[in-house]
Amino acid sequence: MATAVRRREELEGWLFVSPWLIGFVVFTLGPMLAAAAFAFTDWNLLQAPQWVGLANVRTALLDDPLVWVSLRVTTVYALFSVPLSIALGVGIALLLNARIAGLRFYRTVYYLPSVLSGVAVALLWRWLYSPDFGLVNGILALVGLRGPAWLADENWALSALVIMSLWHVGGGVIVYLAGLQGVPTDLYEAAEVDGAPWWPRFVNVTVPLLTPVLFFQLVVGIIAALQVFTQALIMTNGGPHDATHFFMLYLYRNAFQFFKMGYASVLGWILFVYILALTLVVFRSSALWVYYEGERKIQGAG
Amino acid sequence: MMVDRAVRVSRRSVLGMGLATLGTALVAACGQAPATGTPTAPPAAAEPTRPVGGAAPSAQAPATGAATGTVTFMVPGGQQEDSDFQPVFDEFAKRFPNVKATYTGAGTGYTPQYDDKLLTMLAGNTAPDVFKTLQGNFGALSERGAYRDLDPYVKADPTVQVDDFFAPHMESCRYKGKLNALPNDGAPQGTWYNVDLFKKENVALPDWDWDWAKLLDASKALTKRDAGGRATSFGLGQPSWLPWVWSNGGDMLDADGKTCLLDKREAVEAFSWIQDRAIKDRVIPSPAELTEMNANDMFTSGRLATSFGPRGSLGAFRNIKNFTFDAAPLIKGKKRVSLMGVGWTSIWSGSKAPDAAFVLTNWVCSAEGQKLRISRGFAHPSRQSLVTQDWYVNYKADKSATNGINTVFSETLKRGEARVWPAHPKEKEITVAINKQLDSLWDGKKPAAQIAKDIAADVNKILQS
Repeated sequence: MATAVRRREELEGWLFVSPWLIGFVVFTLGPMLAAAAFAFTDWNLLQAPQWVGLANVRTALLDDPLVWVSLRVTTVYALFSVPLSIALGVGIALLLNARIAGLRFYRTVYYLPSVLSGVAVALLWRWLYSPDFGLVNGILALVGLRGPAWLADENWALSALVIMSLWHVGGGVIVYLAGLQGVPTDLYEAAEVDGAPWWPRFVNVTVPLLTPVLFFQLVVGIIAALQVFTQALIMTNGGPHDATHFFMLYLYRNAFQFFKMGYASVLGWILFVYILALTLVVFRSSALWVYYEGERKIQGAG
Repeated sequence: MMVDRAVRVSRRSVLGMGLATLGTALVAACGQAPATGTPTAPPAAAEPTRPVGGAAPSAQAPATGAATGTVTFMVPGGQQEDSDFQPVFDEFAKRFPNVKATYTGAGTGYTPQYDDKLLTMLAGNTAPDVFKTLQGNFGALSERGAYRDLDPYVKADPTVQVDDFFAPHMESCRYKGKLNALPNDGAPQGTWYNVDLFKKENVALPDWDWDWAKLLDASKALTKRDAGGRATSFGLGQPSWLPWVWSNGGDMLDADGKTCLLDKREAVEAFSWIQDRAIKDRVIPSPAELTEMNANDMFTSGRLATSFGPRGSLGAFRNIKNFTFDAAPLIKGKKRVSLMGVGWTSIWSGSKAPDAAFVLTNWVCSAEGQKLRISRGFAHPSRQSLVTQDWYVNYKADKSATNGINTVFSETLKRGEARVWPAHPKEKEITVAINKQLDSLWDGKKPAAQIAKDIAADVNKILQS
């Protein structure tokens, strides 16, 4: 009888997860395996693939400077946009965690930009960065600064996209807010009793208990930042002078403009390996800085 | 504090699983992995449509033939294109009741997103029976067998009236000897100019005799700056570099399409002329200024005295209310060779109803089919018989000064002064490589000679790969 119940529960469990499993196999695992196979072919999408062995891999790693240019641009973007997004997100979350009037309104306002589509946001920021009439340079002019040409300036285009990435910080704010509200109040009360002012309380209580959330956001942020595409396509088309030639843009061009789907598949796998490596590094480093409440070894607790 | 290993492991596991799942999904999504379906193989050509009389309503209408079936049709563009094609399909339904045609507006505008959509449909074996191809893909799709050869159909059907098409239009539809399309429209570039600005500065209006020297003088006179040095109006829009190279006696590729010629003297001179106007004379809007509004918008707003484009530019310019404008031929260098676009209308090689598809193709490219659409809009017919008809010659936009907007483009074609961008299997790759180097043309980072040399090196590498 017990066995029958267990089998039934198992079956129900599989049924519950089956939509996700089917979706994963059909739309994720299947295409990934197909891309792995196409990576060894010259496939133009319209005719039968031709087997080329490791030629695509060799070209990508040894003969195509644009691979490294685009990887460098993408990495620099991630290096700046991810920490900035986390810092700003935590800052806003701290403000929204205070007991102030109109809190729900502010939370909604900060989250709203996250629900806008990438293309609409890209077009909006094009105008904001307009050299003569844009809001950004308008604000700089108020304090006597002459703003750069932003998207048309090789030296500023990537910075402009990094700043623009902060537009979506509201999504992270919700997560940080949930993390902040999970910090036990008795810890703050104990710190207050000990006479700890705001900053030591933040550093020694808030930050350690927020590290699991920061860890999650860091990994997700790196993955997302390394796949930036829409902004580069809509706003700069990779220019000027390849300053915003992101890896995903290069992959897209090879797949859908140059009819090189086999080569694009190799690029996809290079990005996969790169993301995986960075994710593993972050995971390994987590032992040094991520604190889980209830963990045996607690920094400062002996 | 209490330490609970079970809790620790559980939280980490959950977090780890969540990250792994999300990461995998994102990475897979980023890969844009192709569908695993069988790649499209071009089928053997079917028997051509045999016109068997039928109720041909006029001498110019295509024969109905015996073709039956349901066919789909896709074009780029937006709502304007959709409404302009509506009467074409309404009339088709009346004249060819045996063929059910479904119009699909891609909703992409004339943008690369149309190419993406078309290519995805071709790869997925779900392409429309009849579709238009944008510049940049005709050679690539021809090379890869996406089109049905129309020669057998055209030879068998006298209603096509091939001789009525402008010669450059028909020539552009051939790739390696095969007729892969019929031209639905298309025009060479001309010079659009703001008549009021010219008159205000007492500058003579451009005509067939204008050359680059006259254009330079006019551009300098028409560029005005405020006290802060900011241009309030520019004399010259960004010229397309290829007709400038052609007009100076140069070319992009050799006859075999295997060597880039853009490092030759004629091309370097053309690049230098353009760069000098942008950097030395500053009579062309800089890339930074064009991020605020593109050349068409700048012309429409009255800040640009001249702009280069085909008759289709009327789509934007016909709404001008604040000044008078007109069109002149493209300004000549050593000679005049304008760049023309063509509305390649083709039948997908995988079409299940190619005969019916040809009936539709022939109709939308026929004189009557084109007239139904173009008389509502602003394109340029591909047929010589249409550009002399009253409805076309006498078209008037609110603020057009003369009927130059209706004559200079067809006159350029008649004079044999128009060429299409050379179709090549690697056209897009070549274009991207050239455009990347041209960043330096507009910001002056490198001299024209170096740009030309770098372009040739990059393009030759692509051609040899």
